[in-house]
Amino acid sequence: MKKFYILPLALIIVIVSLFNSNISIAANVFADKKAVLIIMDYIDTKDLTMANTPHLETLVQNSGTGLMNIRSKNLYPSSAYMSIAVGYRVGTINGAELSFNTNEKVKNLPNVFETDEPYWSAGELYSLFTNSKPNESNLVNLYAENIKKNSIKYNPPYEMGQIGKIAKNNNLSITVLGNSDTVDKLNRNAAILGMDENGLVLQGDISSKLYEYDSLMAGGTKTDHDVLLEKIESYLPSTNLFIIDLGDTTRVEMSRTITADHIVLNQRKMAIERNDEFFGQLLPLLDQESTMLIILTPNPNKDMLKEKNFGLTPVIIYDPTQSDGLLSSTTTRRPGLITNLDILPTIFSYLEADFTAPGANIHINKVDNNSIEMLDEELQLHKNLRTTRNPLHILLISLILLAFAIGLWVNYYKSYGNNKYVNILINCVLSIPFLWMFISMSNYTSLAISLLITLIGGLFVGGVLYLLFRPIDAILVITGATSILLTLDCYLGSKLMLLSPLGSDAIAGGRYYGVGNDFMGILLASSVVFTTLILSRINIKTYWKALLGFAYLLIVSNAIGNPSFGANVGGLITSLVTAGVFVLFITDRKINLNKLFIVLLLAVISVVSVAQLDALFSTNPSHAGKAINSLLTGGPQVFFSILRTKLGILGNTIYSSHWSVVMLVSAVFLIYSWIRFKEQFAILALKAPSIMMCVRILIISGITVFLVNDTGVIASALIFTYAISCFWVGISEI
Amino acid sequence: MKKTLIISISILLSFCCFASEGLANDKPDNIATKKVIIYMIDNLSLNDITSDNTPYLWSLQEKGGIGLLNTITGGERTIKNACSTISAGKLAVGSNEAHLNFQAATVKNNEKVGDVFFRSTNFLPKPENIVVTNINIINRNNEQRRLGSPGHLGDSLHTLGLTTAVVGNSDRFDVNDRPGALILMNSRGIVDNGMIENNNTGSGSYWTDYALLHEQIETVIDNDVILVEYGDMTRLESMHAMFSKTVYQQERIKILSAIDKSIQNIDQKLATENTTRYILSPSPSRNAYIPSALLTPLIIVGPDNCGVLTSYSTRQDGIILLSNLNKSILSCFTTTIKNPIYNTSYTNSYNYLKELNKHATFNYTHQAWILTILISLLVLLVLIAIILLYKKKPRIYIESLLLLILSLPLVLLIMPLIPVSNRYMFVFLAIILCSLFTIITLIINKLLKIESIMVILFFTILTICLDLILGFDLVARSIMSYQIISGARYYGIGNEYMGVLIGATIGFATLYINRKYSITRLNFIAILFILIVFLIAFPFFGINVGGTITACIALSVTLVMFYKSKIRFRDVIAIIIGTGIIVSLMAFLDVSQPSELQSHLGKNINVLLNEGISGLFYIIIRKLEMHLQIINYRYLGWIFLVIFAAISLIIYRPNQMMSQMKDSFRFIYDGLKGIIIAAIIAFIFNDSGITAAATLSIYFVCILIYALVYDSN
Repeated sequence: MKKFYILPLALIIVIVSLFNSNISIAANVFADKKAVLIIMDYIDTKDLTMANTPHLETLVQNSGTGLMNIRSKNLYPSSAYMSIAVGYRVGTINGAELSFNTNEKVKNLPNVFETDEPYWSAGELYSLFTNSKPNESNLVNLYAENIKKNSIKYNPPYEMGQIGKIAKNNNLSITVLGNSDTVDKLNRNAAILGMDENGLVLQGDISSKLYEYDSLMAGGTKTDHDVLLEKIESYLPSTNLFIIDLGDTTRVEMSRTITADHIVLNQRKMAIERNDEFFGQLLPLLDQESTMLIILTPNPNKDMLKEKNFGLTPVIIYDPTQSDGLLSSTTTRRPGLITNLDILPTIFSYLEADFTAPGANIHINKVDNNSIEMLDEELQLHKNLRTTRNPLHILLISLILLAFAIGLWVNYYKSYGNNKYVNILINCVLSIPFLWMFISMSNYTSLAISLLITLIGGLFVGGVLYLLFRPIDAILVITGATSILLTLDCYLGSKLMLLSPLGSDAIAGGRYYGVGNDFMGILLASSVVFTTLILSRINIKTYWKALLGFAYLLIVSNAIGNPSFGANVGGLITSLVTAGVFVLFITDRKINLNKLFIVLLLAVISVVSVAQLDALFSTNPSHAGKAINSLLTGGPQVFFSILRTKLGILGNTIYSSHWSVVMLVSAVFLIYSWIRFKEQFAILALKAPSIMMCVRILIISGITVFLVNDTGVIASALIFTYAISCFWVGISEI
Repeated sequence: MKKTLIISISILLSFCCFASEGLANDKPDNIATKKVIIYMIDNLSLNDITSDNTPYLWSLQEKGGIGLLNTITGGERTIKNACSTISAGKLAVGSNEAHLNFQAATVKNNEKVGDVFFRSTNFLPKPENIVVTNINIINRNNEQRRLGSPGHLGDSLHTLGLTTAVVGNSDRFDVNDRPGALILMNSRGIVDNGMIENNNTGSGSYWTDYALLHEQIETVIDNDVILVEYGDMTRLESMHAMFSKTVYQQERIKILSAIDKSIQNIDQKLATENTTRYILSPSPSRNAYIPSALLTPLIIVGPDNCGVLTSYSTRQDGIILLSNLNKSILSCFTTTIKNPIYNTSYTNSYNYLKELNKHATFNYTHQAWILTILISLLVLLVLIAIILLYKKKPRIYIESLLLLILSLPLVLLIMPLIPVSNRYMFVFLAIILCSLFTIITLIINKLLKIESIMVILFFTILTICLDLILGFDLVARSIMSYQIISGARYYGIGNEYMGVLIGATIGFATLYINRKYSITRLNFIAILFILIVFLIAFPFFGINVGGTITACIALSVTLVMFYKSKIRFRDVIAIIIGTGIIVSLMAFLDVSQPSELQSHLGKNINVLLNEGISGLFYIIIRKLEMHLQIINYRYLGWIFLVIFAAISLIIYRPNQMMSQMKDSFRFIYDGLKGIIIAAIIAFIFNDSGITAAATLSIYFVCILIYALVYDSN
């Protein structure tokens, strides 16, 4: 009997330990370990390469380097700091940068008061606002209550000061030193990184003592490195985590509105070189065997924004336990790329603290070249891709709409002699995703070249296919090639897809790995067309056809949805629904709403199961895995929060994406065709049933993908494009 | 033609019968007093006045009169605009820096403020004067927007030979903030006397030094009108976001207690039985810690004030406008100016106002949300009804859905009688009541064999008519109606319920005459229509000019169509002339009343008489702007207009189905035409006519579906 008790008990223990192993790290604090977080804000990789920085270069040779996605929920500079401090992409309020030493007199609170003869100390004001008295050694954020109130407006709501809170709970001490004050404006954003949930930092100095006036420097002040070093030395024995704001680069940015552009560049170079000298003095003070050093840039400067880089800044991490190389994390799964959410877990993993955080620990991938110059080249590729993406999309959309229009014109006026143009255009449109898998080899150095490659390449392939094959065969070839290439790429790490114009945008930071919704739509549509058309030519029994087709679509589904490959949940649901619908169609079952609902239900159950398994057993869970993890720990509130976010993205995409036009036109066109070309549809169903089957399956896929994906508009538009292409080609054949 | 004239004459006669009643009205007579003290506590809310924390203010409200100030101005509800509005006695605005006011002798940037003022205004102030440095910009802002003239109060007081003084400020250390001076300034931007420099915060403190403030008040004691600005509430408000809710409330209570003691102290020293005291908060607190604060408390303690303060402008017990304060203050010194504020007796004034405030704020805050939900449900019900019609489902299902839709305006009219403070509960209750009305009308239908839709329409008409005649204020308090806080209208029938009344009336008449045609029935309908026009038009009931034009034209056209199927050109001319005469008579009656009793129409006619064609032009522009603003609201207005144009086209260029219906149910078809005409006229002649057109469309859709159901059966 006892065994019956022991068995479930053991099972519970195993499950609990499985959960715990995933979401927390055992607390075992070693006081001798230290981490130093240094802020050198508003700089780019280019600035680092242009400046003379011998000490930094030496550091880079022994460190991990990479680009960090710094996006937060709004444009306030403080929000970038808050996102790092919370380990979540959040926004905060204007004024959040106003922290003070407790005994510092406050001359000015924006929109509240200003005075030359200060009446209150920061500690007194903090007590007035919060009814709690800070210690003499504390740093206080006077907007703490306001930040708290603002934080609950976010979806999901967040609690500020996670770095401070985790440190407090693990008896780790934090010291914040330095500021970015100019002569007329206070900027103490660095304190946000070290404060706890009440807006208090354990110790440090961010007062005016840390800078000296210098009329030749940007902002009229510069960080007094001697005082800063003194402070570091004095706090060193009692500190586990140092947060140091070097300030000068921020001052350059703060005063740039009144400074000529070329002077700004020079000032920034000078500031970086000053900081480099500081590193030369700082490094000998630290025990390099037990100290982690992180150099961060939380915000982009205006020059970066002009080049449309609002999301990637350089980051250097020296970890004594790891060798040099490129930084990576399980959030991005890409070497040389991390996110601002990964900093918190990295620090506390190193300090061996007990914590929970949504981000992932950063690790260093050993490579031959981790220089800043190499990062700069990588960044350039991302910037070029971002600049080129929109025009390329518009070109593809224009070609799709042109193909629709000519197809409609030819069939409306029964000018069937012109069908060749329709076929060439369709071949061209369908071959472009294939071409774009390789277009990153051009490095997108010129927009014109990228557009020419697309247009000429597409038309060339389209023309050749038209000359070599019958229209349906041409479609079979191009969809087959696309489907196989995309599937293989998914299994091999999506390297081609990610750098394609239809891939992810590392600067925007929506998705870093796997298959995005654009390619998911293409992969699914091309696979359906390819499978259906090829099976129609094989003379085997229907159930064998169903089995073969289903098997191929399952392989595709696995590529799309497997957390280790595509990791696209919406895509997985759609592909499973598509596979189910395919089986129903190929076995000549009558489709009705009940059957569709059952297929959808089965798909959802499968996906939830996969995601749950991912959440439970993977050390590197995907988005879906994390979502399930959050659901398990957070309950229905998290579910609704995720749902709201996804619906928000869906609404935003419908409103802002050019692909909405394609989707809308496709939908109108399909409805119109259903009414106007009823006869042609009937003939098509008789003469080319495989084409009709493609159209029907793709319509259901298109609707499903729109319903279950946050950016389903694009995937849906692309799937409908394949459906309409099949329709035109089918009509031209009969 | 004869019949058309008879209808018009009947309406005219009914007006004349009531005219004498409108003209006879007695007004309160004020006794002149010698001193006015205004205690200005900005951001005060009604809930701040309690017997525990502010015992003196509590006693004042018990002793004097208390009301709620609707803080609408010519712009945003800011202190600067509010003070300018009080000063002008009309809606007005200040300027961005209207709070930068100084004593003339003050030295700023090594220069006397008086000298700087002279440089910009060519007027050299006396050293003891307080100067409003932005007076030129304030005047320009108001002239450009054709708003009131700030400085009117100061000018009028000076004309009466009285002097003014201001004490106190809302400075936050070196940030100067002295809006109080705007209330008492004259048109040159001068207040006679005062102490508003930051020495009243004494000893370098952020908060007011009350001992010093009291000393300063004694130096201006000889002035006739003294304004004391209590700045601590503004100071607290400026940093409210930094406080936790609990600490904020503690600080607020502390400040209010200090202000209460200060007022008591000053009253003990200065107030005599001839002193009238105003405790007012020109602008509301906008922070989330103070709910329901858009209406601020106003206490007036004077020889004539007790109970609940009411204004002729609002005709709503307890609601006062900022612009009323101007004449109210002046009336303390002269009997030639009538006090626009009078008293109404309530057993517990404070509790009455608290309820009123809660209700008004609930309606104002949740109107958009609740109406969006209910209208969405309504659209859904219409769609379901159309589907059921298309699928030829039994009539009872469709009829029930139509009853649910048509009962909504009636339910929203009686909802103010039920105290609900939760928006979800409100929607839930509205749905329950709609269902209840539907069931009741279906039972009546079963028992009395009266068409259930007619029953619901009849009750809708009856309730609105009784409300207008007996003054239950149901229309004014309905969430589907105008909102007191928005300040667009305070009494009478708004465009929403005007649409409901006309729509329900035409709908009822249509079904009534369709049931059995007889001359007796037609005459009954004619009497009903006359009554409706009268209720919408008469200055003591509906007082809706656009509504009167709509009702006159739409109901006359409908009635003429009932009498004879085709309307001739001379009928149209007769209807237009009749409408013109009725509106003129309405205007005449309104203008004949004392100015404080005049409605918008009377006031607009006065503007026209005083300012000529430019005044008329300005009124038209203002109305058009409001029109566009409402239509543009989330672009829904345009969508509605397009749909409405399409429907009109179907009615006037009928397809086969409509032609069939036209042949089967001529009167219903005429009724639908009447509703369309009403909607078009309402849209043209009302500044928010789109709302009337929208409510009318409910009746159009329901009657149309009902007719189609009948037809298919």
